Amino acid sequence: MAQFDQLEKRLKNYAHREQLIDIVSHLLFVLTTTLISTTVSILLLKSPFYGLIGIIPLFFYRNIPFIERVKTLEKRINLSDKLINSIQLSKISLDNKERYSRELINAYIETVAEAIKNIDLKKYIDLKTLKRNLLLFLIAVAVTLIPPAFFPEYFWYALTHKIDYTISPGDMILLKDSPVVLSIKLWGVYLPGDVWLLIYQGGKLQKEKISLKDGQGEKKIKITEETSYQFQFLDQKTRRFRLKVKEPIFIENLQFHLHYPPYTKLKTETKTGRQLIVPQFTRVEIEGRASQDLSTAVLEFIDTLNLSIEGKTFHGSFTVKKSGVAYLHLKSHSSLKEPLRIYSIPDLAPMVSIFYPGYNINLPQDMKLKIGIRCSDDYGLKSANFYYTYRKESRRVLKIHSGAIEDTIFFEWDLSQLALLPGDEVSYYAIIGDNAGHYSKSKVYYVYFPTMEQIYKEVSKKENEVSKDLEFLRSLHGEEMKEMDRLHKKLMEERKITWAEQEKLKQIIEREKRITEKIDAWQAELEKTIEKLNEGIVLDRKSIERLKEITDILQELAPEKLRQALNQLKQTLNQRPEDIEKALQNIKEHQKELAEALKRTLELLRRFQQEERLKELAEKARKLADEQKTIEELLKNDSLKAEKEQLQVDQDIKELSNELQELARSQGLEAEIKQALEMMSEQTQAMIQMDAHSKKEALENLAMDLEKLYKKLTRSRRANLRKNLIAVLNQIIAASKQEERLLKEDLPEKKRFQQEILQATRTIADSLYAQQTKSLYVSPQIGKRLARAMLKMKQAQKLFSKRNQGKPAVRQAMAELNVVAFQLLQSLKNASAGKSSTGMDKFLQTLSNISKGQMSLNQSLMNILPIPASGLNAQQRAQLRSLARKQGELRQALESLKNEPGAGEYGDIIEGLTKEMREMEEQLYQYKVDRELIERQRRLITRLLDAQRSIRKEDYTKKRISRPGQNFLERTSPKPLSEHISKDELREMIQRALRESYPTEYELYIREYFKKLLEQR
Amino acid sequence: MSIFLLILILLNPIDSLKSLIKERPNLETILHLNQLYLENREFKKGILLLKKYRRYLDSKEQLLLIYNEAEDYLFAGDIKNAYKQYMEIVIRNPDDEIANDALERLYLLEIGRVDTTLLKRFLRTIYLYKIRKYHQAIDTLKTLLNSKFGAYAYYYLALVYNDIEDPAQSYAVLKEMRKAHPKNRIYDATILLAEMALKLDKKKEAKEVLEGLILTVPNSIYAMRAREIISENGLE
Repeated sequence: MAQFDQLEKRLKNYAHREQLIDIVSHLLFVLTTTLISTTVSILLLKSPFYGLIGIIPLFFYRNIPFIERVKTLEKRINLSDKLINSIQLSKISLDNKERYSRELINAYIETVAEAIKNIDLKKYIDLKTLKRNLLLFLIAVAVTLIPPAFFPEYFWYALTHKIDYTISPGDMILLKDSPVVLSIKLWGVYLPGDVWLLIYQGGKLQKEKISLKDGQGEKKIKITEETSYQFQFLDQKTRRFRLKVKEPIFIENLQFHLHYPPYTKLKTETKTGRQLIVPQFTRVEIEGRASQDLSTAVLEFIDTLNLSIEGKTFHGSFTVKKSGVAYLHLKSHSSLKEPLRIYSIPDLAPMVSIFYPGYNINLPQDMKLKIGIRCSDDYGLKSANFYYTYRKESRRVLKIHSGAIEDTIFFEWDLSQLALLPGDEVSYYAIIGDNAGHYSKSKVYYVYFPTMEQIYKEVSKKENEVSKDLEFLRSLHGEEMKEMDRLHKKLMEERKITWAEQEKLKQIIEREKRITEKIDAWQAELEKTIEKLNEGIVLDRKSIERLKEITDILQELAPEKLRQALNQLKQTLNQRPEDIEKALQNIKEHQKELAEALKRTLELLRRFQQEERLKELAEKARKLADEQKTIEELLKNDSLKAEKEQLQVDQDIKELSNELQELARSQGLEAEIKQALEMMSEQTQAMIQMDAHSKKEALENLAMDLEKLYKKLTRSRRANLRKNLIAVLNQIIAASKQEERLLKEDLPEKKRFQQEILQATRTIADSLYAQQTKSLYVSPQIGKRLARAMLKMKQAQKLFSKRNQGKPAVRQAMAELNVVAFQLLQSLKNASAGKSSTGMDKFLQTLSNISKGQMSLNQSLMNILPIPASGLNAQQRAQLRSLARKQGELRQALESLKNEPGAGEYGDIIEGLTKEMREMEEQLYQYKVDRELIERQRRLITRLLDAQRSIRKEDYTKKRISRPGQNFLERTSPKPLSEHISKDELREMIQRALRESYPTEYELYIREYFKKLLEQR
Repeated sequence: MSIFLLILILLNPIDSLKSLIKERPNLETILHLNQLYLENREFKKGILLLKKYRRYLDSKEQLLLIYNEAEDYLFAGDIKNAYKQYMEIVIRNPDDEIANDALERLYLLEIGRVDTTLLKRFLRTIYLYKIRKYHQAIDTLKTLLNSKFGAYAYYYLALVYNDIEDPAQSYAVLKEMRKAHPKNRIYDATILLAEMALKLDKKKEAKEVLEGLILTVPNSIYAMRAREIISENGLE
């Protein structure tokens, strides 16, 4: 065992040494790797601590077990496992199960121990690894010394990693799209040649190398969105800086709570947007929210209003007094100036118009006038008053729908209470108030109680105007006809029509159309005048009939066929020359007809005017006689005033004389009448030299003579017309009978016979035409029919000469002649069926005169009032006696009416009125002038007018001419606004337009549009 | 049978004609009966008869009935209805010869419009003439010679004399008419005067009258008629 222990000791010793050498060797290696890794990390500008990586091999050190070392040794000294076996055997215990011999084991160990006894084990220790690692270590030390030796700055930087730098602009907020210079400045022992600029924009990285000069480098970039940047140099990265885009402040929410003024009666409402259209004096609460926290909020509108702010919200209130632009100033890190357009809609004054009757009117028959008032307001109506002035202004409160936007008021105004007299007028208007206390007055209209003279003048004026216009149209039409005839001839010769000629034709067509339109317009105008006259209280049937006659003539004047022919020509203008020629031929016929009709109308009008003028002069003479009578009475009391008035009457007499002379000179007047007028003119002239009394009598005689002359003129004309028409009728019948002979008898020279009848018929036609120009009753249709008869006669004549077969044409000619006779008979019937045949005309006229007389009497009576407390003086009594006489005359006139043919069933009414008049007459004679008498007078006038009205209603029926329906024209662009629209009408249009349904955004345009229009007016 | 009927008609003409018409309505019988009614002044019966049987006749015959109906109204003094009927004839059948007769009547009525009382008296003479009571007609016309219708009374008187074949009287009346109404426009009367002169063989006078007429109304139907008479009678 001792052997073994020794052996073991030696082996262990060897193993220790071996292990020690391994450890030293390994440590050298670790040092080497550490030096290398440290140098590499410095070269790579990494932290020197990276050198610690070199110690990693340290952890790979493995301790070799004793057995392994022994094995390695065995191999080195070639002992073939003996050492191992010895060691293993030494481990076997004494009581081992295998029962190995102890002795044998020991023996074996001893053998082995002996074998190695002399072997120096130190020699077998391996030093190669140690030496290699040492070499490596020395190399590593040499390498490590190179950087400090050759690149000391780099080396020192690598060791310390210390470079100072500054970066601009750092973090910043910029406006969008603004440029910015990013720069870096470095300080340190070692500085790199360039740096990297890293730009982060929209999630993307942009890397850019920037060269440094003196440690400084920069880059200019443009900021479009939020950007961050940093610099990178060597192993360092700078902090990342942010460049923010500056966001403008904006309003996220803006509301206006509108508190409308009370007069609008509108509920509070909230509106958004940047525009306010509100009634004036609306209180506005403004409330909003900005996109950023606010520092200040101001509303600049007329006055500057500081708004309250809380973080992002702001609010305040103001009152809209006028229109303008308000500016909302908001400030945070940016500022905002928001314009707000504010329209202050002032409360317009209400609109008012009296649309019915809508014009100045003559007093209606029943003395009651229906009034129609239309009123409107933008925010509501409140009151309506009707004012009328007759001597003094009176007011009548009208019912109105309070608060309504618009209203139409109708009421009947009884004017009988005003006791109007001929020549009087009443003015009236309406005043409308609205909720806001504005008032508007309507146009002032008048109700006239016309005198007969005024009516004559009106009718006469119309006649003159028509006459003048027709004369002009006739001359115009003549020119058109000539031009059209020239073009027609040219077309027939050349068979072509140039563009210029076509244009000329177009112009002619248009002008001809205008002529027909003008005639239509006159017709409408006269119908309106007739209607007006019919509604009037003073009735002059003759004037009305006269106007009706002119209207009838005008209706005949504008032939529908001419219109059609004009249209046809217009349509054919672009067609073949043959078509144009045909259309021209057609139109020529109608043009000729129109020319003849115009000539006839003018002749008729001239005759009408002569009659009318004579009647007017008779009235004038009568009026002058009355005035002279007054002067005669006045001479007794006030000679100065009488002289003054006499001068005026003398002047009027002179005028009358001239007017009579003028009438006498007018064309076509019967010689007898002409002579009489000339004589009367001379007599009138001589009157001026007479004394007042003689003058009065002479004027009365003149008036009477003129009235007689007027009757004579109209009667003789009517009689002559009748006589001539009967003569024509007789000849027509005779001609027809001759045609009958041609049919019945076997005459030898039928052709010659027919020729002679034709010749005779031509003479009849001429004579008929002469009558056409004298009376409306002889219609041009009769002439046309006669022309047709003559045409048939010509045909018959031709047929007789050829084949002796003209009988059918003869029969047709006879038929035409007989129809002409029939039409003439009807004309005669119409001409003689004047109103006078019934007696009603005269009856009504007398009744009308009595009414006027009674009104005049009433007026005179009123002038006497009030009666002085001392009683009536002599002059007043004389006046009352005179009035009583007048009343008596009126009564007698009324009594005499009972015997008129027209009185008939109205006898009772007349009886009652006569009784009333008699009683008043007595009262006047007894000087019993009191309020009761005045009231009785008024009642009497009303009854007289009532009687007139009821009779007239039965006697007169309004005629309306029916017209055939016409095709509607295609819709064209609306016409430009009429120049005649007044400012008030425009305002009404504005209000109406704003009440209509339309998109809200149009309101401004509508208002603007009308405002412009209003400004232009 | 026919002899029996003739006897019956002669004995009681109205009843017989009535039975005849009832049995077989025809124009001739109806007009005959109407004439009998006229003679008896039974105008209403005549009108009723004409109205009643109008539908049994053709249009041409109907027209004649209407004309006679108008005549009945005229002689009954119902001028309004007569006028209406004559007008109807003219307007419905202007190409028929009867329209000319109707127009002549209408012309007469138109002239008489100014004095209907006188017109009615005048119509009475025509009625008398129509029922062939010529002498009564002459007497009545003579009463009208100084009236408004004097000229026409002369003319109709001359016509009656002519109808009763008394040209001398007719001539004398017309000559008187020219003296009493020198400015009259009844040119038919002038023609008649010339015809009567011719009948009395006063050719020279006839020629003078006709030539005078031609000079007065040269381009008229009357002038034409005058020339015709001159030519027919070789008065050139």
